[in-house]
Amino acid sequence: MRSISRLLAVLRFELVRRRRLLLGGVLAGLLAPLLAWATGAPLGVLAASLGLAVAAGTGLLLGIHAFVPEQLDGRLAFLLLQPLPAAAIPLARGLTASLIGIGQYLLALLPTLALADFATTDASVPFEVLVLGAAAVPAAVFLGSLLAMVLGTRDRWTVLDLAAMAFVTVVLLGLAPSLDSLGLEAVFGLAAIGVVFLALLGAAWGLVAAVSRGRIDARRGHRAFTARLASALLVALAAASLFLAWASSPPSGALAVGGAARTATGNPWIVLPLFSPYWHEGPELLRQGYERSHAFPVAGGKGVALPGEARRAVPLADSSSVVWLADGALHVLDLETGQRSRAAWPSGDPRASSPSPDGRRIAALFSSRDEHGVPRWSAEVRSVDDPVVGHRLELEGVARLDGEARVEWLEHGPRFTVAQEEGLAWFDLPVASDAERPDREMAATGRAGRIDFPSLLRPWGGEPGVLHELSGERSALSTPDEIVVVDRLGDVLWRLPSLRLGGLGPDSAGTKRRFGGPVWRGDHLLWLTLAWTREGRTFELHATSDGEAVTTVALPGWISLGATLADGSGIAVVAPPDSSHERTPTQVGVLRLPELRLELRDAPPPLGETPHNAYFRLEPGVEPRQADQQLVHVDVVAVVRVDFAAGFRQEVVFETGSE
Amino acid sequence: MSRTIESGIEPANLPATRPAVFSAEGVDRDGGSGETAVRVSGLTFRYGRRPVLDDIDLDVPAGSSYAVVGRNGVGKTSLVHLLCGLRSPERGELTVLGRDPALHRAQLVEEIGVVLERPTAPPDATLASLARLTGTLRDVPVDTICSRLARWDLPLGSRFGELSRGQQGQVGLQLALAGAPRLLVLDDPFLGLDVVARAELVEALIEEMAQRDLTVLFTSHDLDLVHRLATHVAVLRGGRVAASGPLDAMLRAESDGRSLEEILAGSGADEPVAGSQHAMTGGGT
Repeated sequence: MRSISRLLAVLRFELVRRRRLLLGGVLAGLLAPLLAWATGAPLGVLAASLGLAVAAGTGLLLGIHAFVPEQLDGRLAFLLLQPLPAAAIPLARGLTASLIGIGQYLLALLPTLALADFATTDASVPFEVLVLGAAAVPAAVFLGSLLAMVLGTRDRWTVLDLAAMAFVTVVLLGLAPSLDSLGLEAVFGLAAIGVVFLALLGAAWGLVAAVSRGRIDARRGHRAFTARLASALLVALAAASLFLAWASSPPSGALAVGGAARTATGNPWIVLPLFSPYWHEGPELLRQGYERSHAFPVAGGKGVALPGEARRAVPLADSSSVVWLADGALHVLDLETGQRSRAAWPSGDPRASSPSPDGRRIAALFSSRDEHGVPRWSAEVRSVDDPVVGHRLELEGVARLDGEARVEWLEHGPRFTVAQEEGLAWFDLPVASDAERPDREMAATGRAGRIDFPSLLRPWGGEPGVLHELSGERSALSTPDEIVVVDRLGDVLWRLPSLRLGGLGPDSAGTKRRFGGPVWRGDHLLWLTLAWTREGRTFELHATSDGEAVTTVALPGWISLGATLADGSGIAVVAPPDSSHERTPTQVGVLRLPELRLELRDAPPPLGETPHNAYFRLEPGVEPRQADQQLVHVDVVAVVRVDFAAGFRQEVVFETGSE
Repeated sequence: MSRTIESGIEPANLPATRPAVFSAEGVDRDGGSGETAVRVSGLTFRYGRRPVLDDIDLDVPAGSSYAVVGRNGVGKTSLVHLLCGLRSPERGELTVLGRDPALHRAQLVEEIGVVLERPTAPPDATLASLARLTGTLRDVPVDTICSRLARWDLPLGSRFGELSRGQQGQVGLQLALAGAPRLLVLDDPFLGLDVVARAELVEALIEEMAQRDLTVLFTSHDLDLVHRLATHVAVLRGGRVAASGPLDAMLRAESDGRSLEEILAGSGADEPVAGSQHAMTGGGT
């Protein structure tokens, strides 16, 4: 208490000494209306700006003169010869300077705030501006003190200060590209903020030490400051490095599988949707061998679009980050070099996008309310040409191997239509440049095909249907109740009726919701259905190649986390109720489909040269339920290589979820 | 050799209530208490690479009036700064009123009053605000301090920077004495003062010394002042203590055949006077 009362005494003494500086605020306050009247500028903005300039300038000057000049000429002895903790001196001086500056700011605003009562709308001063001004003054005081310490003492320690700051900056910037390639800008931002914060903390500590250790010896004080600043910088750098290493390699337990893997067709890249709850969210890109290679800060469920060849780039649409709020960014990753570029994506979230097979271009379709079309960008204003207007349109963009694009959509309401348009607009992916490159406009070629879905008017919480392109110019449309395979003209080739496609799970309203749709490769479809049995709710994994449903296998679970098809094996991941909130799969089913004739030309194996691998951990010792099927149940899901020909697990690569 | 130091330090000039240091025959120079207010041992201090104080030893008896004399640049001010905890020594031990000034500055300055060579109070502060601050920090009624200042015709409403050099010195002394310190440290407080201001300051100092048991350590190169105020003297030369001990013993001894002025001036020898410190200190004991 005694120390506080003494600190307050010094504070009062310093305030009384400098009270005349408040006149600067009064003058600014009186000057603002005159300037506003003369220039026609908004009074509120003018007064706030003027007040802030005066207050921050005063704060800066008072910060510069807080103690360093007095330390240099010995006058600091006056306070040092008082029964005060040395730390109280810079603290009192800093507080005094801040209070004087804030007082100036408020005095500068006072006339304007008074005028606001007379309905002068432009005299209003937003609360945020008040807070900003109040925060700017202490910052200016601190900055002034730092400048005085680093530059004012003019000794060799100045060189060390600047060198330490430059070193940390260079090291941090050196880390940025590698982090950028990992998609960890957000993490880097946090680390940079942390370093700056710790550096400021170290600087504040150093300023206090400059007085407590140096007293009237400015050189000794500067040495104390430099030692603490450098220590703080080194600690910050070490902490940032550790943090970045940790964030870029999250523990396996921190990752959760968010769905089934997708694969490139021309190389061993696969996309495993593992989500880290910590600093970045987004799918992981794995190479064959399952070493973790890249992660992206992707939110909104867009994920990685893996082009067919996937040798050049993987574009990600609509990246966002809690830190940078980087809406509408397009990320392109060169899988061979690891270089990652980022392009400004036109405003808006593409309803459908699809990369070209070589990953050099991307086709996009934007929608606005009920209008859908390929936009044309001109002077950053997006307009939709030839909009397709309809009630509840569902769109699906499809990239063709021949370099053209086709968009298909489903229009539903009283009648549902499947339509196609050729010539979807392409956009070059800016692999080497961030420049936006508008491409040619879409040429609509009309619509084709028509499918009626009389059952769609029944209540349903999920999406009405998803289109999948099959080989042979066929498309499969999944609906809540059936799969319809249509040809290019929309004629129905075959149906799989009475099947509830996709996984079902509870949504926030407690009603059922469908997850995904059938998985397709070549001519083959794989899907999950939900069934209620004596054992409770189970999923059934189905497959077909010609419209005839093959045998199914039951997977106890409540949540479907997706299914995939790999070299004749259907793989589904479901989760039991107790882990549903974590979306952590604990059940893996593998349905061997030897009777299916996979056309490897259209559906190459997902894992490159080792076509018999799957990539979910299978718990040994559990017998398949049916002799001709490899069905296993696991308690812990991990990613492993499984060689179906040689046997079970070969190597554990990537654990997910918790034991 | 003629004596240039006259005995202007007549005991009659000093208050009768002075401790035994003045009444004894140069025997008990510990001010009667036998305690040591300041003890310096092997003290070394440098400005960068330039040595200022080199391995000096010094004992200031409690109750004494100890003058540290020497020519400009011998380290008197540095010694004062070290005694007050304003700087830290490079080497050696330093104890002031039983405390290490470098470690316990805040506690130490509660018990000492310091007047530095150059006034350090903020020029824009009024004497009233200085009195208020000093009173609050040292738990002394502000009125008492104001009375002190008023007694010396120091206008409370004036700003410190508006005062004459002599008035500033007087303010510094009165504020230093306000907390009833056990030790008063003065760094050449009379430097640059005119005759009147100097006389007033000396008068104030003698008055304070007469009223209570106060140890005074002051630096000066004014030997007349030393003769008037000091009971003990240490002569600094070349960063070392050339001689030290009770003043009267030093005046009497002349064991090396040199006067105080000559010791101060360094004539007759380049090195510190061999044995003089011993002789004078020994004479004191």
